[in-house]
Amino acid sequence: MDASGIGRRKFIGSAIVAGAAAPVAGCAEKAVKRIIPYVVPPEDVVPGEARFYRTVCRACPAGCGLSVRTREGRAVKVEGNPDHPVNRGAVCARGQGAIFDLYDVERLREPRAARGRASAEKLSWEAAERALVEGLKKALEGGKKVAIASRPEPGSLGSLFRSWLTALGQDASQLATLDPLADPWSTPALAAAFGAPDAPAYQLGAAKMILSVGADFLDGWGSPVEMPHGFSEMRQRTRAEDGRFVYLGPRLSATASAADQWLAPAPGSELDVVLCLARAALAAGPKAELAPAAADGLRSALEPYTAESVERRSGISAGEIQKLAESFLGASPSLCLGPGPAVATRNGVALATAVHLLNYLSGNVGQTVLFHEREAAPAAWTLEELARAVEAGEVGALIVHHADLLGMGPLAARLRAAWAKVPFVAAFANRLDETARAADLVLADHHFLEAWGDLPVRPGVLGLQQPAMVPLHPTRPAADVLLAAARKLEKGAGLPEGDFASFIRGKATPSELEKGGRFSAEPLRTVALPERVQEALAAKPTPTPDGGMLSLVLFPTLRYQLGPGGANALLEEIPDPVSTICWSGWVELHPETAEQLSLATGDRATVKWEGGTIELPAWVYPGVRRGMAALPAGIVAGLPAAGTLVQLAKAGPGKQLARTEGSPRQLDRMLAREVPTVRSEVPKPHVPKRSMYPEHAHKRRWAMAVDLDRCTGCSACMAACYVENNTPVVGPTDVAHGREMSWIRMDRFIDGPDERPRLSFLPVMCQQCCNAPCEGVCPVYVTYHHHEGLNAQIYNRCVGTRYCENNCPYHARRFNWWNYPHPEPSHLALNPDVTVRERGITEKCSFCIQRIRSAEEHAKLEGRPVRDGEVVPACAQTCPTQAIVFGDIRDGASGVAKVAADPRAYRMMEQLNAEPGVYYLARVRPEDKA
Amino acid sequence: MKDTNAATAIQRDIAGTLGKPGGLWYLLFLTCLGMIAYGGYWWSKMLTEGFGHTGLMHPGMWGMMISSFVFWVGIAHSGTLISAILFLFRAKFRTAVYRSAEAMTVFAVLTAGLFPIIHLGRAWLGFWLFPYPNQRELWVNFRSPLVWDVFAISTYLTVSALFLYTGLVPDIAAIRDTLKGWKKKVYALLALGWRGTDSEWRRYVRGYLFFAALATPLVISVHSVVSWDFAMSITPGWHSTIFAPYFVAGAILSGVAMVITILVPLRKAYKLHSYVTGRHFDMLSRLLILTSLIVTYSYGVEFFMAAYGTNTVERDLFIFRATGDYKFHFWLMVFCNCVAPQLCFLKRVRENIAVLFVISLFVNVGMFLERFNIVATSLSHSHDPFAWGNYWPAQAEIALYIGSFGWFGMWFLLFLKVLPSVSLSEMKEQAAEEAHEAQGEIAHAA
Amino acid sequence: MPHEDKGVVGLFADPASAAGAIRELVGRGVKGLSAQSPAPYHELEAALGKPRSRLGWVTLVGGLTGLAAAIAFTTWTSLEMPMLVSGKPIVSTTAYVVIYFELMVLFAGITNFIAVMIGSAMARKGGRFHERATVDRVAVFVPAGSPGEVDAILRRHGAEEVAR
Repeated sequence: MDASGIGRRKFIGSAIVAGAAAPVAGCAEKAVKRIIPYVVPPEDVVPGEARFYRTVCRACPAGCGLSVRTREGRAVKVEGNPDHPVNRGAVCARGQGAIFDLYDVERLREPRAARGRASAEKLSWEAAERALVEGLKKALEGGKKVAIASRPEPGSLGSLFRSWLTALGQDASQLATLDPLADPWSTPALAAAFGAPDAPAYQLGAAKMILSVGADFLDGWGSPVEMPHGFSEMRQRTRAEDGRFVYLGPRLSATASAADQWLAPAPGSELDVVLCLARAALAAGPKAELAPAAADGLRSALEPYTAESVERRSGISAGEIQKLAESFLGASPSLCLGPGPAVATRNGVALATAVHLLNYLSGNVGQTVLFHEREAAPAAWTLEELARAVEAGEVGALIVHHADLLGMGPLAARLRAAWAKVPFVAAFANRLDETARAADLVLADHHFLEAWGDLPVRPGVLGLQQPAMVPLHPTRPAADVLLAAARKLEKGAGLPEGDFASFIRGKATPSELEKGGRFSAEPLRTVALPERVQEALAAKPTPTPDGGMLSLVLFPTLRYQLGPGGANALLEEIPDPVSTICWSGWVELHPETAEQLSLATGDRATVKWEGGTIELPAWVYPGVRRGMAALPAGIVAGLPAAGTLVQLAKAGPGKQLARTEGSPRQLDRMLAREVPTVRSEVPKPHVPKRSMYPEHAHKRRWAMAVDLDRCTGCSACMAACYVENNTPVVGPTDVAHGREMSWIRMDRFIDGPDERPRLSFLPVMCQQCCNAPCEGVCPVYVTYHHHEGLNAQIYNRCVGTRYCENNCPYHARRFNWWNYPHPEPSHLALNPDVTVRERGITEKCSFCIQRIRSAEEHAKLEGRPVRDGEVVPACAQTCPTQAIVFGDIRDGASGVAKVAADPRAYRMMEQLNAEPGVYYLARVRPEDKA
Repeated sequence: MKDTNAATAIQRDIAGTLGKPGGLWYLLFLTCLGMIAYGGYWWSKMLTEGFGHTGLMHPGMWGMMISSFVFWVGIAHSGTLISAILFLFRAKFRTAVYRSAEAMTVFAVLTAGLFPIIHLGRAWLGFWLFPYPNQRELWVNFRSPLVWDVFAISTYLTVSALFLYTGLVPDIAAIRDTLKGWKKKVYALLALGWRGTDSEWRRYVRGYLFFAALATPLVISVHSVVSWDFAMSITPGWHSTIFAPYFVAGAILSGVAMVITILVPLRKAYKLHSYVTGRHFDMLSRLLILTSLIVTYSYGVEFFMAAYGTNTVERDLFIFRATGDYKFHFWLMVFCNCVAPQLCFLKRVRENIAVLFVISLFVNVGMFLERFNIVATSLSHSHDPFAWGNYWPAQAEIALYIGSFGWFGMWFLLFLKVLPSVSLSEMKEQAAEEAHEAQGEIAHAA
Repeated sequence: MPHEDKGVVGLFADPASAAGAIRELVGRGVKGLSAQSPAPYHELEAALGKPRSRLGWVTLVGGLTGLAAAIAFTTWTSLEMPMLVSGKPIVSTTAYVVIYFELMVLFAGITNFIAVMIGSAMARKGGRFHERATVDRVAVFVPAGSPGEVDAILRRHGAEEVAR
């Protein structure tokens, strides 16, 4: 139920002061001393009832819609807005981490002052605003430029920045954007291919064949929820045929592992492969309009890219390339995505142009690659221009808005060197990142869950951002601070009257706010290839690594995508799905390469390149090509561009690496199973079902089904589970010791020979067995079988023998090794519906029993049975690919019963006769034709 | 009148070990207290801060503390074996050693019993494991092997303490009657009014026999129950039907070794050479061979079943035990438990107390390693390979283990100074019998 | 155990001699003889010729009580709190056998101890025959009014001391 009334919210807010602490006090040990109950609850707040407010996620620029769950006036969890066309109800791990950012202990609570002293000196808002006005005045009086560097703000705030610059007598274009998701080659390639339209919207769901050119769209490249969602749709529609998704790139990422085929061409030769496909498309007759002159030019340019010649350069057999061409051109529409940073090294623009070309020739533009009509983007500085202006000393005052200029991006080093040339820097931030530390004035901004705003993702999709709670700290929104400064400088002409909140509210109707945005279908724009497009396809030769040099591969991670890396405890704790490493960066090496360097997993390795060096733990992984060093961009800061040649050396043995992997191989134990086609029956172990006793009479049998063919290992379920169930974050030392508390474990297996490793993901939560091995061994009846089919766990009965965990073949149980602290104000993030477990007891997944109970109570109040799909556990709710289905399996019409009846359905370790309540659908992996 | 009576000599010799302790005793006693303090320090840290101080982790939720528990229960069993089973078999050599063996049983159970409590995540709620009427209207789960443990261990402690006490009562009465002052009053209280009349003895002899008859199945049941702590689970390497006999044999092996380990210095310190003779050690070392062979057989059967069966999880585990990260512990265990005791086949070894002492130490180490291997390796390589992980003990657990020796030693040292460590009445009885036999022989010869 | 204070006590160093004295006294028709010794000497028992103690029955009853209590208790608590556990029946008799056995042994053991010790505890009312009889001497008690030359017989068999 979403709130539409705005006036009420203020009132609710006022209740926070008294109310927020109250429900938490019962949960967090010693967190709050006084308990002040709602003697008279505020109108419209039912104590114990959750309220949802829709807003927009700003954790990354993808612009997903959120529905924020609030309890007694404080946000406790984010969920996806099902009406939002970008994420359709799902949220990624990073989005789930927003709650941790909101209540972060180290979040800036007030303005801070002075370059280099920012962490020490706290300011009042009056003093901060005075300092801002002073700084601006000095710049203006000195005739220098005032510039803004911001995260992508395509909405009202961006317009406000421009009007503010204009009002100050500046050029509106002095606004640079630091977009961590944007690849540097995308804009030039769009210009070369189609004459500079805006970035297209990719319709993965409409495609019948996807070719990813190093685009790790399941690892956070592009839009982290929309793309996996579209991919999952595509999979559901096209699973009957096989070979529909091919990944081209040097590293077996989660995305590559989801592909039906992973091709790892020689570094730099991806361009040749794509051009070879384009050549085939041209030969087969382009499916889009092509001027004869352009066709001729292209034909001669693509002539050398025969399958045979490409085989020589890439190492991929001509037959394989031809087969790829056939399936790509045979499917209509298809979609070529990319390039991602793993492949677009020296020839990023050429490769990106080639991808556009291929999509165009295959007739995908307008079908799976959509360009919208929209107004020309206003002129703005590139980061390059900003850096040049800074270096030239032209910038007298720089306003930084949530952009870690010094911490990330290829220009970080240049800006750092020229930083002293900017006399005044004011940074709007939520925490002290590198740039904020180097600013003269740090202005504590609202967290996005406390702020107003809007975010147009593309024409037809305008997300509206409204606060889910009153600000936790005396922070101020950036727009209001800038407006106030302009007014104080007496340059407020042309700027909106009042504050930014009323400005946004003036633009949106209550029903739009209730929906979370304004969504409509907007006309498409047709694009055409320019005549001399082939000129952009010329490749710079890629240097072959020699002399022990390795080629640097950068890849996005679900935690921070391409950066900037943050200090979000939840995201740090959630292991990378591929490497299972958390709390640190790492460098990936092929086993042979590692052996040559005598590096083993966990060793400290020095990565050296021209102008920099960094020390990281090594991780030996057969899923990365020989002669390459792969690094997670976004987690490791200050890296050079992808493709740079680096030198690795062993620096010594390292501490135990914080990672969750036990053994990478599943040893034919048939845990994460695979079938060749979507209709294949999964082989079951030949174990007759034996029991001395009759089956339980269940009132209900709650069950879960996980489709491993949809699961991409993205770990959003883990993040949602942490937030929903108050699972403690334990930190690197304890994780290294095997003491992570996550109720869902993302099993990742690397099977097959080192030459053709296969990656599979298997989310393992408590399997809620009927004949649960854990129950019988507990001496004090902590855990028993509930008549609704759950394996109940009564925390306050537990004495901590830990026998249950020993006897759980799934190892789904966790033990509280310490009392995990929830320092103020992070205790406010605790979900009041879930107990905070004490030290010394065992805990586990409960299928979100609090949600089951809440649905049952609502149904009871309405005098009806619980509907199928009414109970959605946190993991199922947030899953971007909707791989998790939950319901009552005794109701044959329920979704979960249908899924469980699928021929691909199996239960883990069925031979143990534990009768688990979690079903898995085997992953479809067409037989290797190699 | 000069007393040449055998009973008088026995009384003098054995009661002479009581009384004012010497310097060595104090040194040992203080060492034990120090060890207890070390273990206690770490336990207090675990109690106040958390189990994070241990080396336990996911999936190795049990570790050295449980190994120590089984180790001490195993030690306890030898005492019962010597006092009860050998009593039923009328093995004469038992007389001299059974009292200290019985005391060892009680103190070892007292030590073992600490670990399940220490091992609880919320040790302060340990009493919840006992079925008692409570406000929560909760009872315990009698299906759980841990509740079986509670019953088995508490029954064992009670019965063996009563058994020890029953044996002690006539001796306490004897000491009471040689003392004066407050000490007499204390011993009089403990003697329960024992006078040693014939009707008391008639009752006593029957009662003692029943104790022995009760203790024998009890000791087997207790270690079977301890083995079921593991065998009742479905964890590979634990889930096995051979566990009960295998554990009982192992317990006797470790117990016999511990008896030798304790008797050798005890004999030297108290000059008990005429009571604990070479023959006793000879018999003990034969028992060592027997139980070592049973244990070796059990190891073999475990591996055979893993290799012969179709359970790949089980098979992988046993390969891991022998070749994986714990292989050093495994092969050291094999050497200590299977190879070293075989030296006792040589008569020369059986007669050489020093070598025997060293072998007994090896077996003690080996049996501890056996328990460690069973607990640690099985948990570390269970069903889901992704959830594998190796457990290694941290300082806390080592401290607790050391502390447990201090605790055991403290009780034993106190016992040595307070109560007769060799049975007075049985020695007197035996002396009379021997005299009788000797007379008979003389008469016969004449 | 009835115990008359009045009588003759003979103190022997050797249990065999004491047994000889008893045998002779019994042969002469002396009734109500009893002995006190530091150990259960077989000769004495044999000479006194009293029947074997029926203590075993008490112990057996104790054990059976324990068994019955265990069965009743486990069944009752399981039914009192019926919880489904590991797919096992509410009253999991098989699993409870261990409890039955342990409680049986526990009850039997405690009963046995009490049965053994209750005799000596009750006897505390009466005095002892001799201080050293628990240490290294055997005392033979002949109740007053026994026929024959009790003192002489005792001394003849080597009594170190004869007291009234």
